[in-house]
Amino acid sequence: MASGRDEHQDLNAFEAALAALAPRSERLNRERLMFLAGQASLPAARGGRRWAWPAAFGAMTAVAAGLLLAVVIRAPQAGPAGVAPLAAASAPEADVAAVGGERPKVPPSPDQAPRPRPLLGGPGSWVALCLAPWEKRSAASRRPAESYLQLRDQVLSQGLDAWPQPPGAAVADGAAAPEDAAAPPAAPRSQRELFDELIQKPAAPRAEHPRNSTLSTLDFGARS
Amino acid sequence: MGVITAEILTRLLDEHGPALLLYARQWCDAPEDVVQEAVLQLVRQRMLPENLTAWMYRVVRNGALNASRAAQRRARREGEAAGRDEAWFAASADDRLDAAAATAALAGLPEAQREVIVARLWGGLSFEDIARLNGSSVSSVHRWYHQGLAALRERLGATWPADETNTKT
Repeated sequence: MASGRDEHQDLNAFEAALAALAPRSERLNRERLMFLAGQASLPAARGGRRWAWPAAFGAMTAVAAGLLLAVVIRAPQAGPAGVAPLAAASAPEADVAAVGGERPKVPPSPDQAPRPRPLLGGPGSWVALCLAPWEKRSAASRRPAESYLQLRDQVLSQGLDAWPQPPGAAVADGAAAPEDAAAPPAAPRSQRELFDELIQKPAAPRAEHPRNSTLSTLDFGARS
Repeated sequence: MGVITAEILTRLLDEHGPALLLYARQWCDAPEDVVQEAVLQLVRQRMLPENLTAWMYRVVRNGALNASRAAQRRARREGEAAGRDEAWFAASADDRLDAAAATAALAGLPEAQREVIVARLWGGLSFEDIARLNGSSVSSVHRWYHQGLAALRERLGATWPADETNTKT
């Protein structure tokens, strides 16, 4: 028993002597290790936020591409709107008909086709439709421009050609028959038609229309 | 630096750096690379490990074993013998055991006994931590430790200073 205890004590002593040996550590460069640890602790090195900037860049690129596409889709349809009516109005028959008070037959222009919806501005714009509930969105797309805001959006996006003729203007021009008064509003005429009409006709009081007052200021005095 | 602060890292290197080197030296010839990689892995962690010391020893063990296998493959390919004649301990006049002899004796132990002795004596790990580290039972770890100590004492018997307990046997 005593020898066992002695052996145990001897083993403990040997254990302590062995533990007193110091492992070599000169090959471990502490300064370089701390520098590398600082580098590795950066968020970019960890890879945690590496995707943030590329994702933001991709999102902005997609938004820019969408806006460019919207502009490209709208631009070609705005050009030809004045071409066909301009050709029709420049014909002498059309001018005579305009002086005589009869409205010349204007071939249907691309204005009659559904125009692209403007991107911004007003309840009829794409932004407003995207924000509106789905069931209201379809109803709004079928409803004609009833409110002032919708009419404003149409004029801003499609030009003055989109301005509907008031019922009273047809009567003042003398071209409206009684049955025309009950007929649906006439299609908007082109700007050139209206301008030519203003030039050739005397300054007759037309129906109160804000646009007429604007155009009258552009009259260069070519009156008969 | 994130969760792992510079203070934690400095304290870890001061208290366990040499022991981690010794632990990795059992398997590979470049223990400093293994320990460095383990520290970098620790820095990349999002949360501080629950038992930091045991975690470090596990990572160092895995890294050292991988390095050892790679070195053996390279040695077989190049026909070289893996040399491991570098001393593991710093010699000191106050030591009661010869550093070179202790290195040779430790290197001659079976791997399981050597690993347990190094982790226990210089790493300060408990027997439970060591058992989790090498995937064995606590009783096995206990047995290997005492067997390894006895074998070391027998091998270092010539250099173990004679004292009153030794003369009695």
